[in-house]
Amino acid sequence: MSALRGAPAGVLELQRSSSYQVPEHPKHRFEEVEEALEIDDNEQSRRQKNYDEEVDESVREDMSKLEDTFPGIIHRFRLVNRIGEGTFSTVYKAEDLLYDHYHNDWDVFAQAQQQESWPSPSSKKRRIDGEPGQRKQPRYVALKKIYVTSSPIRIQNELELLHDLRGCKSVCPLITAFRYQDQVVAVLPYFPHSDFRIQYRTFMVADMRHYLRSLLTALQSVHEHDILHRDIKPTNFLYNPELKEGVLVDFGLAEREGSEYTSQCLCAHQTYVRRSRILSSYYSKNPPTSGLSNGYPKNDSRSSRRANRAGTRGFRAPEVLFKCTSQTTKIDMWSVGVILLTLLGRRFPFFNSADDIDAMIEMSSIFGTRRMKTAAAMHGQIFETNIPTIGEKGYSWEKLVKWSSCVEDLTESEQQATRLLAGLMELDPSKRFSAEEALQHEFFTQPVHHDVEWGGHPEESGESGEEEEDGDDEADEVAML
Amino acid sequence: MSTRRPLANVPNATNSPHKAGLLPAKRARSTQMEVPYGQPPPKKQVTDSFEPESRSPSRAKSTVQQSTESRLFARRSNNANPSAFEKKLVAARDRERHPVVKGAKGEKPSADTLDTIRQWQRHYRKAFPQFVFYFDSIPEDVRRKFSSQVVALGAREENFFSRTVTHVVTSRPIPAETATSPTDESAPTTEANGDANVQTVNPSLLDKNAGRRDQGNMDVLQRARQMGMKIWALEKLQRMITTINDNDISGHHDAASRSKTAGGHTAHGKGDNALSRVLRQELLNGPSDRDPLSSMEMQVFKGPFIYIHDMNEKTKPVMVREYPRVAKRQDGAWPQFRSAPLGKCPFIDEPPSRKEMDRQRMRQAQKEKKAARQNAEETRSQSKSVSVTANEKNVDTKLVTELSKPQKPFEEQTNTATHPEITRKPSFEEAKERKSSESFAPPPIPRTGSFYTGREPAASGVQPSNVTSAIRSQMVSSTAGVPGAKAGLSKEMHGLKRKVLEKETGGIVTGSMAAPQRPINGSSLNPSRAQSAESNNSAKPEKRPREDDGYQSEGDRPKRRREDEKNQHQHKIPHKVQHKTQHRELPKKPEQRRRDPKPGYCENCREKFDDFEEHTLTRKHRRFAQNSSNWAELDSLLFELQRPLKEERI
Repeated sequence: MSALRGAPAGVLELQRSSSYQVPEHPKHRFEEVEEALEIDDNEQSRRQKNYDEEVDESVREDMSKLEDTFPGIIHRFRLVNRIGEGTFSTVYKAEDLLYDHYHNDWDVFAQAQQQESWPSPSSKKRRIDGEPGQRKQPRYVALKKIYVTSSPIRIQNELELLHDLRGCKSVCPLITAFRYQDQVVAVLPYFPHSDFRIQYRTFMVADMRHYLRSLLTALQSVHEHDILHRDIKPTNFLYNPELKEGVLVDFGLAEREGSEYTSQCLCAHQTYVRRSRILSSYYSKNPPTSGLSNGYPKNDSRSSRRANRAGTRGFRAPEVLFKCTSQTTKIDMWSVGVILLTLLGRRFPFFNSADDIDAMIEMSSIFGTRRMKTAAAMHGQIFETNIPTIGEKGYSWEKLVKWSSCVEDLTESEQQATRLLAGLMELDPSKRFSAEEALQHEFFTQPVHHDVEWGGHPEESGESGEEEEDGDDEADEVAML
Repeated sequence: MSTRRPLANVPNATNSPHKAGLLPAKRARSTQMEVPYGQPPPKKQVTDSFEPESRSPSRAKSTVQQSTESRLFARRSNNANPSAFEKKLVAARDRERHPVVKGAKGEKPSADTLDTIRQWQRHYRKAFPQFVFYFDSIPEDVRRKFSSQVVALGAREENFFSRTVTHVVTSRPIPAETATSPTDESAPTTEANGDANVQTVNPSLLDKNAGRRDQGNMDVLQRARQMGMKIWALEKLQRMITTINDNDISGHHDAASRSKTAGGHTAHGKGDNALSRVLRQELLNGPSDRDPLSSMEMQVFKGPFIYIHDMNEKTKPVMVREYPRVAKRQDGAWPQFRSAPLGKCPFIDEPPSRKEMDRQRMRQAQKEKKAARQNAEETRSQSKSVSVTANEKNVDTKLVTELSKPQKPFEEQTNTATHPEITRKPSFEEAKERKSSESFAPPPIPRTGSFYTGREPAASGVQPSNVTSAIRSQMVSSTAGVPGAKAGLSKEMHGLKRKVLEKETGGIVTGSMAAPQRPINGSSLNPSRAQSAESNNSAKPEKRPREDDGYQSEGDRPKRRREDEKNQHQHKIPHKVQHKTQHRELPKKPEQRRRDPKPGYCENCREKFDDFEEHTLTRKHRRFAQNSSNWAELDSLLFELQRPLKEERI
């Protein structure tokens, strides 16, 4: 059914059955334009010998710069393209020139690499990687160049955690790392994966199951090591739908549980302690007369509550937003929930929070004030809002998923997934599923296979009844390119 | 590992300085002195300083001495030479305190103290009926409450400021006395007399005021001051009333606690604007005990808000944001469920793309044809046109281009037409009935919004260097178009807009993705249009900010750096490859490659920078980079991470 093809930017695209018409894809156009374009004639011919991955000019400059400023790197790796940018790093795809000189125990992905070099189904949009048969199979790695403004401690943290996690299933292994002055480059396997932005729209519940199983497996290992990843999101989980496996990457924000604890958060106490503290709190003794605070201090000289809030907007757990000082590995589980919500709700990103306050409001729109108040109180916070679109009771997950995905009824398997969702997007971190618990959920252990294909043509507009315009629209878009 | 330092210890690692007050907010402390007029006996102060019992009213010697006493207590920490009178007071206080310390409940204060209080009470009970109060800047509910209390004491309230008013009660800072800035000695006397005699307005002052009528807009408090009226802080009135009404002056703990509640806090006498604020807060927001908010002036919520704060008020609120009040909640600037097309974030309110609008127009036309035929349809389209107008207004603020007159977005149409009850709930474009996902057609590719930029939000919350991404996300946010709604962000917003504008007017199509669906493409030749479009159009894909921000545009700089680094011996790279180091020619780009500095924070130099490239070349940064002692620990880890060579290669 579906076949993987190599894609320049490490993007694997899923080819779906008949209705999936590659050439007409605006998305393909889009991708190509994004990924490729104008290469100097000299440069192009020089590169063409080896491969003809099209590289954006600015990316090329960027890569040249790395090659120029990092002595010797050019002889170990041939930079191919930029495949990602994190907050603290840029990731390049590179050919591992000295692959054969080393032991490559890490290379459990050889198979995946192999697949990548399969001749792609002919598509005029894509050029084929290399010229098969002409030369030795290139070995690709991912070079993660950590920004020079990162402290040695931060870099060490990331590399150390990765080193600790070596051998864990679905966690990206660290091949090696080296430094030149302030430049540090980590060498990681290049893992062909699909682009979530495209992928999620084709996911059936069964696909979600594979995706989540792999992700949760990775997290189970990570959490067993008492490590919080802190930045679980689709871009940090490289999923290969063909292998039905993914790898968890980017431990740049990861930390050991407890390493950040400054003072114990209220949520870390026994329930009865918590209750009595809440009852004896200033707020409980001085509740605002009108039920809601009238205002807030103008020139607040009090110190801020400090807590690690590292993460990505839209994926931060509620306790992170509440600045809980005793965050646990459960914050990653929330993020997994957000991914599942994205998949079930067919919307990516689901949350679009410019900042934590927006995130809180979005979250509250779902959960309602009552549950948010309880959640806030766990961490010693008072939640107050009179924003009219935030209801008191919020919505059930099932309702939300239905609305979001615009269906009237959920299939059995969707309902099952939604129950898992509820366990993941649980406001109370102590009640939220752990990775282990999640993997024991009926969604994985007793999967309901009442699954229906979500749709054929991901580009097809969902507006049934008015379809006749769609063809034109796409032509329109192509023309606009 | 023992070597790891929690990241929280890295300055700025956890909290972006852009998030909350970068500078420690200086507590506003007005230098303006409040003149103590006939202060009622101090209560809370004693309570706080000494013992819970504290019969503070009992310490009042007379009305005349009120403020003197207040000052005494207020200054007791630093007054070197107490006057005889002060000593006496202290003695009285001590005398009174000791029995209390012994803890006997119901211990009675000394008779003469009680006497003083009773005297004070008698005086004011008599005086009150002649008072005419005017409440200035007092919330309605509070005013009503106090109005009834003063009326109960025989005074009356004047609804409008006039000459008949004798006392102005205010929640605002009380203006300094202009005429005579009272000295320690003179003020209490005159004031006390004032209170005692219930002076009417000094005619000469009235004349003066009459002469100044042209000033017209003079503040009520100023005028009251000029007219010799008493100006009381609300909390003072509260204390007065409480004390006057305190019949149980033989006192139990009750009295003390009651007075504590009522009288609030501490510090008396002069320089107690902070106190006034405290008390005002207490009155406005309810009584408090050891109120941590006491010293802070409150910003009152006017519109919808979200406020998440510490239950013990020990720390700054974790979140507070207020939004402008709106008539219809859909117009609210906060994130809310919008009717976003499937596939798109449900919280983004997006104007329809040109294509959508074209489609929309066609659809509209078709529907109108139909409507002509069907009566039922007619009513429907009428309701539509209503929302068209509403929506146009809405869209106009965000959009984009004149090329396509915004029409009612399709999704709203459907929803309002067919699912009116849903509009209060999350309403999505294709809210059409579907049996299940079986018949579900996949969503169209989102062509606008953050999705369209083809990027996921980047991780943040760690250090300010990710301001860029935060800013960008601001762009896409549905709330982005509301300046002022997010205090503190607007600056970044401006910076962003400027940046975007520069890009646009520079005629450089950033990256290679020429924003295919961007309807403004054609109009980008016109800078001003482009600007408005850019700043408003959340759909604008600002592609690859990082490469735009510096990496691609170093221009004249890299050479120097390269030379620098050539001289450095390399690290960790097999030696044999080093000699081959050669420089590939950078394709020389003409001058238009402007620098687009990327601001951020350098954890190593512990400083913020405006330009990443520039910063990495600074002496400070280079020195850090070249000092191997900074890297020793990392290097030992890197040593462990060395890639194992195959035997034959060794």
